Amino acid sequence: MRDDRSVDPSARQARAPSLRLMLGAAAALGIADAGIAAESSAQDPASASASPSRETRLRYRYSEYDEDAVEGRIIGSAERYFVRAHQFQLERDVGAQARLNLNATQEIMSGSSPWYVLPASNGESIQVMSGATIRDTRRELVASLVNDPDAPSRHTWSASMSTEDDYRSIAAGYERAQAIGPQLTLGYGFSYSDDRIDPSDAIENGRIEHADKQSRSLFTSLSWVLSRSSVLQAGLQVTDQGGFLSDPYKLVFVDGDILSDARPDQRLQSAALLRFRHALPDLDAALHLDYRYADDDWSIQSHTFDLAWYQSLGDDWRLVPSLRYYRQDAADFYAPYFADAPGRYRSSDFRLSAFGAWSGRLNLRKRFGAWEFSIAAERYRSSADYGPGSSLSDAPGLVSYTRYSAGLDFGFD
Amino acid sequence: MGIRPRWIALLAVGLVGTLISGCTSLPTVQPWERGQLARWDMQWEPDPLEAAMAEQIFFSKEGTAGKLGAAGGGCGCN
Repeated sequence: MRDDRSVDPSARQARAPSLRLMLGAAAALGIADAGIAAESSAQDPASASASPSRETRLRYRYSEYDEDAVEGRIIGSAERYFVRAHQFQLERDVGAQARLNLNATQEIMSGSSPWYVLPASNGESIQVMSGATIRDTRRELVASLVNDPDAPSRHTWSASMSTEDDYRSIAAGYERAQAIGPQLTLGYGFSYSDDRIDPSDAIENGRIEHADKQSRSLFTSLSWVLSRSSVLQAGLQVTDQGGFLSDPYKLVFVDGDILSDARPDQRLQSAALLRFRHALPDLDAALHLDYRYADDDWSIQSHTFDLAWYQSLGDDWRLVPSLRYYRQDAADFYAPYFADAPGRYRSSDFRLSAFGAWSGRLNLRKRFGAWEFSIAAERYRSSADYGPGSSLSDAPGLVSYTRYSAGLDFGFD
Repeated sequence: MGIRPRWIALLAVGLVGTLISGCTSLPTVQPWERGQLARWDMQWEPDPLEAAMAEQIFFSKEGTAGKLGAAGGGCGCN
């Protein structure tokens, strides 16, 4: 997230051939034929007692995330974020009773981002973008260990660390899954994270030099087997955040002045989740339905719906179309700009505005023996029109993006 | 301002009700009858890397974040 005054235009030019190269390399690798790889179900409560797989698995994904240019009137570059990401995963047994899962991610980000909003005549607004190209790299490592992965009752410990030029986050968590009936599994756990931000160019821009925030989360879930072909999970989660929750890179127009973003130093969020899986053996398909309701004491209520269809096509081909809808209300201290001074808190961050978002994704997979090759494309579009908001000028910085990914999964005994 | 616990409470009551009725009326599915449930496409997250990436994007572009048991993240927030 560093504001790099010596803008490097080559950052965006090197990307074009990379996806094509990877696709070619992956296709060339997909010739091994070493038997059908059974799928891992180690961390799945519903199927814990059925045909577990204890093979070692390796997964890799490359993805490109590209945001649309800002619509409407702007000052600065309309060109927004572009991110290239590499993800690696290793999943393997350690000893007879535990399974280790290691995830490494690298994201290379560049582009400009919404900074603040100016009022214009006729109730319109002008989006001001960050003055220079931002370049940053995020690296994340997540490790988790599942004890007794095939048993009806399990413990999972996890730890993670993520770093950027100006940001560091460490987190740890614990989760327990416990069979409490022939078809019922209770899950519960907690997680804690500690984040530190050291904004770049802090002194020149009058930003805070260092800040911390902590996040504590408690969750519980019930998973039950409804029939031979369907499972349902219901969960509740409460997350308490404290510390510096403002965005040091965003500003706010207040009655002619440009001020810093100022949010409460406490936030309590609750969420209820439902997940349903239904197998249709006659069609060789499965239906996934997910819903999440969330609410917090900043007044942001949200609803998320996810629908996915997993279709096997024969010859080890699979097609997975999915659709997602999200909508949220605005935080009670959000406005694109303030004609009069608000109370203690103020933000013009589009993420706190009232909006809705539709996204659709298509994933095609093909298995070659122990290898599985996957490509996917996703389109995400958010707008005040899709949600409780009313017009573009309420949140001119809302994001829409396209994402492509390609990767390989490999499993061996 | 203020959290709306009634929604959460309603949902919890609904879940417990469903659970109780489920316990009494659903037929027991034996372990050897769970072949369909063990399929790859019946997992909560069949593609963990895709799920992690999507979660990171929604976390950094929307006002609500989090799935069950989520921990960690970092920012990437611009």
